[in-house]
Amino acid sequence: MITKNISILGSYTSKFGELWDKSLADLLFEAIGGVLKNSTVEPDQIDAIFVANMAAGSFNDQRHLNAIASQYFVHFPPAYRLEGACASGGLAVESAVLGLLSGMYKTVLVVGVEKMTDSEVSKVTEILATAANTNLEYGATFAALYALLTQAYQNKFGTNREQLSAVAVKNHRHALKNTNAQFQKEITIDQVNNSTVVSSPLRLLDCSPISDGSAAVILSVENVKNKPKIIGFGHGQDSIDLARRTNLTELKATKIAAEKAYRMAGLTAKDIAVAEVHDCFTIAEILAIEDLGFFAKGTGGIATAEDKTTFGGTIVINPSGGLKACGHPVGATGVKQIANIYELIAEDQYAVGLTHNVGGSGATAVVHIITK
Amino acid sequence: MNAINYWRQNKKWNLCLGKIGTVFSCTKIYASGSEQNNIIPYFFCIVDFADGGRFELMACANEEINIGDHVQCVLRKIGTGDKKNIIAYGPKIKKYENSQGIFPRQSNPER
Repeated sequence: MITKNISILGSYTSKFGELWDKSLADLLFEAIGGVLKNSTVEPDQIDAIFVANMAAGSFNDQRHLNAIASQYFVHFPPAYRLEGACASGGLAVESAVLGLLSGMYKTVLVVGVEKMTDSEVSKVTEILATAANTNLEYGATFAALYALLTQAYQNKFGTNREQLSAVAVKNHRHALKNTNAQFQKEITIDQVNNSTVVSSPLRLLDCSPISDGSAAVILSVENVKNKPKIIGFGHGQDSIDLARRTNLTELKATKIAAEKAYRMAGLTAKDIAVAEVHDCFTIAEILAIEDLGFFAKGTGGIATAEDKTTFGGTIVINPSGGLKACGHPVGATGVKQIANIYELIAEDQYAVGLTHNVGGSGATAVVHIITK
Repeated sequence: MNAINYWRQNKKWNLCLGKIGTVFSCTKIYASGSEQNNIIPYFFCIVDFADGGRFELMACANEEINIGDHVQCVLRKIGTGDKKNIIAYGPKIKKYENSQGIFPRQSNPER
């Protein structure tokens, strides 16, 4: 059980997409300013900043983001940059919570940012591939690694093309309600089935896009009435390269993270009403909803195709549109997930929510559970 | 891959070069990073070698690979190399056909 109250006092998410007129710094400051405006926290109350970013050094020739974030404030609070590939946001939130639990800080700001679209696609592909083992997985792309997981999964459970496509169709439909989503456009099963092959069997519409964006939340040990709280979190790791994993039809890191989070919160998967999970590729959502305990192993595809993961189903997965439709500015995603679930819980739309953020092909996973 | 890293890596080629194995999983890549842009599409595979090792390797150009195929690890060009004109060679796999039709048993197929 968490020994201190961890309240979420505010959130902000930028528009995700190809944001030509916004620089990395613009996005960073937009999120910081936005979350302060959306909360009752004064800037001088921010004791520390946790910045999530995967690859600004490669995408934008800019490192030392913690210093840039800190200089937004006249009192220059201590700031940290966290990187865990696509799990950077989840790790930043977890680190912020640990900072609060340690007693070192009372109120902290977590901001995630990524500016990817200034680089051409093959360069982005190369940079993202550095989240794999660049020596042992030389020649792989991220789509290829998840395609290998898809092949292994399909081989064992017989999940078909339509079940994969159902994930993308559902998330695009969910994103119609999200004005910050990169894509607010419905797609059909046929469109996904017939989109260009990227890495067999994964097609273009199985893949989350390249995006720019930022998101921020403010966390505090102050027990503020009616504010959602983080009541559990968990962090799991597994081999970075697929060849050394013991099982390619699950993400062990997710299972470890989920088990720790549920135990800390005193809850089980059945208690979760809504979740933002890491659907970097359609297979990733199917694996996630099984490894998080929402559906039995091998049934995630069927559950999605049978509308059990949409509004009115067993559990709502990725109401924001997920990474697939909302977009995936890598460092921002994990923070945006917290922001989304926080907003839903604050508005009393759901009682308990969960966020799931994965790094690489599943080597890192972070889960947070939020309720009022 | 820069020249120094390439030099370090080629000292490990003996771990798989020449060995025979079975394809556990494979994918055909149509969109790659810039170093493999001139060879797409190509297969990328997880291979279980007869001595128990498992490796992730590119397949040779023009090889059509399927799960369960028997393959051998060979030395081939793996990318365009870096700006210092290193010709980047490394381990790749190609289909293996033994004239006697004898194939090594796949180790630990359920892994």
